[in-house]
Amino acid sequence: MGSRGVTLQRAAHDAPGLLAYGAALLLAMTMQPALAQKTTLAVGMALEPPVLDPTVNPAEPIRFITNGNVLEGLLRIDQAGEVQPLLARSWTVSADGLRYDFQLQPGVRFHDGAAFDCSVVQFSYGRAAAADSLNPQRQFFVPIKGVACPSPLEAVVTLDHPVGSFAYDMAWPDAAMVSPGSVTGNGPHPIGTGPYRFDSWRRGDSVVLVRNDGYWGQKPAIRTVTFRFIGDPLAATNALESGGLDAYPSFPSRQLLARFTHDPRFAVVPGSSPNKVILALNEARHPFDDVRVRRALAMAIDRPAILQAIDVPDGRVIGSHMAPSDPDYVDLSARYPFDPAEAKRLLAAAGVRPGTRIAIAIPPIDYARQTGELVAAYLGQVGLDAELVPVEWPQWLSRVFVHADYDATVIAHVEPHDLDLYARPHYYFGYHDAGYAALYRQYDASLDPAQRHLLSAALQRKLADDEPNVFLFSLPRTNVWDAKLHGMWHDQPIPAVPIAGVSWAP
Amino acid sequence: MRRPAPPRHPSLWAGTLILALVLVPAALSAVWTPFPPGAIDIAHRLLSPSLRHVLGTDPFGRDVASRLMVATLNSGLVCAAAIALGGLVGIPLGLLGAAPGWGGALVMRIADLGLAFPPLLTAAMLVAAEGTGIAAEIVAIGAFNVPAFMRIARGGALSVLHRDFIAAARVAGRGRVAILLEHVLPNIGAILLVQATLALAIAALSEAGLSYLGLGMPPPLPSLGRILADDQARIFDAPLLVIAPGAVVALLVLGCNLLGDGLRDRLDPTLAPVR
Amino acid sequence: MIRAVGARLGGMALTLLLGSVIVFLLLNALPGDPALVMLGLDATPDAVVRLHHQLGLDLPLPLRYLRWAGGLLTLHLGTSLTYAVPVSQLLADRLRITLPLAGITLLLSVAIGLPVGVAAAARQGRVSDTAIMVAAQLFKAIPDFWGGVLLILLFALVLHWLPSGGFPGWEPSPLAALRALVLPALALALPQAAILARFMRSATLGALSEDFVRTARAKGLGTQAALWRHAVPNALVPVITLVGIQFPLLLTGTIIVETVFDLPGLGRLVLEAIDQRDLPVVQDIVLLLVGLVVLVNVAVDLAALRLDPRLGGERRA
Repeated sequence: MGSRGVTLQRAAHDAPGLLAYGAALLLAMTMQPALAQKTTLAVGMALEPPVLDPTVNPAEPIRFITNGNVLEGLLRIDQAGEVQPLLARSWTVSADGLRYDFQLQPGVRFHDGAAFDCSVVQFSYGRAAAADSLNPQRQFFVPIKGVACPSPLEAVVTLDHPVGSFAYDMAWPDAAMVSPGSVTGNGPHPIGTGPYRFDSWRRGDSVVLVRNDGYWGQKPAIRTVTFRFIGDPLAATNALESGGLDAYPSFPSRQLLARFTHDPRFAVVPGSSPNKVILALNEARHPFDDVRVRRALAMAIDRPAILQAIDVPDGRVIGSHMAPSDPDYVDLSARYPFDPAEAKRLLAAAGVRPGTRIAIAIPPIDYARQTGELVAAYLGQVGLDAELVPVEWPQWLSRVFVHADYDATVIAHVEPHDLDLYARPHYYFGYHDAGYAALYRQYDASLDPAQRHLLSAALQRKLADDEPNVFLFSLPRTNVWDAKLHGMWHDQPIPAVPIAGVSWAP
Repeated sequence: MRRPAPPRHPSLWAGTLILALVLVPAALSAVWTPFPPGAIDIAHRLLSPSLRHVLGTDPFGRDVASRLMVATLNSGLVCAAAIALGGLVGIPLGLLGAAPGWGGALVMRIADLGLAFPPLLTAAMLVAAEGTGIAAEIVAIGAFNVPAFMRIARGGALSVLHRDFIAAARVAGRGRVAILLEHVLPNIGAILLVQATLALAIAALSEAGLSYLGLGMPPPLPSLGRILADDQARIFDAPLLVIAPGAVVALLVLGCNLLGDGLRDRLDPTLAPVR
Repeated sequence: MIRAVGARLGGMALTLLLGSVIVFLLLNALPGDPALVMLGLDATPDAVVRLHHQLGLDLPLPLRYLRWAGGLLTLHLGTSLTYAVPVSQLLADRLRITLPLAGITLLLSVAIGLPVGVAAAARQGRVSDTAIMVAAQLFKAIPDFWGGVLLILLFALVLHWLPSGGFPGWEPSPLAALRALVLPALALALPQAAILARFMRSATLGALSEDFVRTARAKGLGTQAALWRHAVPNALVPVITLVGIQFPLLLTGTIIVETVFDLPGLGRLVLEAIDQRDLPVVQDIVLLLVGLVVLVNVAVDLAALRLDPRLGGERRA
């Protein structure tokens, strides 16, 4: 608000009469104070993070706020999904893939003044790999044999065995550099090396970041960023229209988007993210241990129709555990076309009687609830009795994810390149296939990009054949922001809302 | 009141009429609906009202009228069960509390406790503990209804117990329980009926609120509050989806209130209105 | 009078004690493990055990209850598991929205309900009286969340007068913050006002027919004077009692309406905390709300007693 707005509010405060109050209200509503050059930014997000430390908690909203803004790693992932240097100016990999030499950026300080050098790398990676580590991606760090510091600005990381994706892994927010002196306070008050400092957190409302004027890199244009948590689509719409928000990446409602597409003040920008919505099946349970049953389920469900019904006609049907935005993506979406008659035949062949009960656990999210309801209806059409079991997140985590006590569940996996899930010995899918595991080991150890691409395609095909889960679709993301705003990420190859490259058009 | 020739219980008739309008289709849904309420037909989604689909279709192509009929039945049954629970627990406790001694004080303490737990808080805790379920919802709404029944039963019993015919029955050697059942209960029947009708209105509001918040009966059972919550973002392109379920709740509540008021006027003109 | 006050305060303490036991038992029987939620998907069993110890979740139930209750008595509300900040701080933040909302609602409903009720009583039997009472029946039947949605539809989406939800915070502009509370308060207040109006009407009529008012009128007191000098003040006693009866539902109505309008108040906090198994927060909030209900009931009781000493003993609406 400009100075005139403030004066008006004061007048409204002093005026005792309702009339004066109402007049001020009307004026304040119609006035848009002119500003020279805006240097603030308010970004809307659907969920509030529980803490602000991505190295101990897997919640996605933490990464939106901190990744690349407050916290930085040695490397980063750019909008195209490529690995780029960050706190490491450059790096080299030995021919056998066991040794990474990182040349560190000089003159870098944490927000509390602590210096960044190789000892911080040792500390951060050591902490993430430790046996009692809470790091959500601890497996990234387990192959690290040691971090040596030949000089303060050089870090040499040696691995037990070659890991083809190591540089990519180290660019995740989970591999952020944290200072030994401030790490314990990072939950409520993260301290990193990034272009923005944490300023304040009003629980249930917003987190404010301010520009770090001592930043080692290029100074960003935006001075103050407010991340506001507005989950309700109507409220988000209102906040954008009234100027309470400048941007909302991944706008939460399709139905309300039409308001912005016809409004020249806003840009509605399509983008991609590597999400995969699946109907996860528990192979440890009969009848899901039978591949015919899993294929039958895939053929019983009309996936394009579901996309219509949940108002995302531009969503993409997938046929394996890979999103179309991924460079390695192979289109297998036609592998199991909608064919209820064939589905019934397969079920009968597998000895599954009509009326067999399947409980589908539904986590409390819109897409899961809607998709679950539709999936249940389609399974009903081939004679199965699908029962929806709504569960809260904690119950989903403990019952489905940890104890694999479930038949089926609708869930989105949002991480990029997570084909390793199907090679894990204990994962909630209950999928065990020696052939897949061997193929994955080969992929994981391969350093040649071309070969990795081929192996990834083979892995995807193998999954499509076995259909351990019914792969449903990948949901597009649609961003809404002020038409004068430049530099926001359209795509989301990794959870992040980087602000440093954002600016207002004059 | 000193009104010349008042219309004979207009609210009784209006209430009965409105309730019939809502409840007859709901009851009918147990045996027949225009379309199967869960049948998904995506080719015919979001249709406007027509002769075929009186209230149009929802985003999944389901017939809105059919779903509302079933949802009303579900909500109505939950409310009825909750009121029954409130009465079955509250009335005996209230009669017990009419006995002289510390029993009365204890019973009133329980009533206070029950009133301090609005359905939403109880439901929130139960749902957190057990997950959503019809039982949790019935208990949450029912528990809040116990105190009202207790108070009325106790008050009624206290006023009746002093009358002559009770003394006569006692002299005749009837036991305490027999007296309560044969003499006290019939005498407070009317006021209990009025209370049940009015409580039904509040229960309908609570049920709708709970299922709106996702604390009510679990999907895919259609319930009025959840249909509204599910389609709330449709408020622009299909406002009827949001307006219709709320209107059914409002009619249900209105009908119960009118019927309750009318019953009270008719059964016991001396009664002061409770709410 | 002093005895009556003492008895009621004692009863209140007993109710709160029983309430706290119920809340604690219900919530600590939850199957979800808060430690697991905090640690996320790949938590090692060791880490879970350590966190259990750190949170005191490995202690026996009675001891945990005593710790909690003891903390409450010394105003130590514990620490939120999700946010890792004191619960008192969270409560203070959220009450900045919920209390004004409840206050505005109460004000609006009284400001609308009482005059309308008195006006209807003054026009008893006329068409305008019937019209008012029919309208009141209608408003009384509107679920507050549906009313909220309809208000959003009209005032925010069609007319663009007021925001459809969200809360901008008090600091940048108190005016904008107030505007954000107008529709939610209205959605809550309209049904309450309808109930109050109906009640006020019959209470006023009741008072008008009392002997002393009739006597005054027989002695030449005008209708208006009889209404305002005698009937209305006497009608206030039952009306205050009614406000007490309505309070718990108003409170939970706030929770629902906060969801409709996406206001980060106490209601939203408690629903989120249940989702997250944030036990300290849930326990404290539920007990706080229960305590508020009990307190208001006692206050209303005492106020009624004060206004009308004839109400002795245990009669409570």
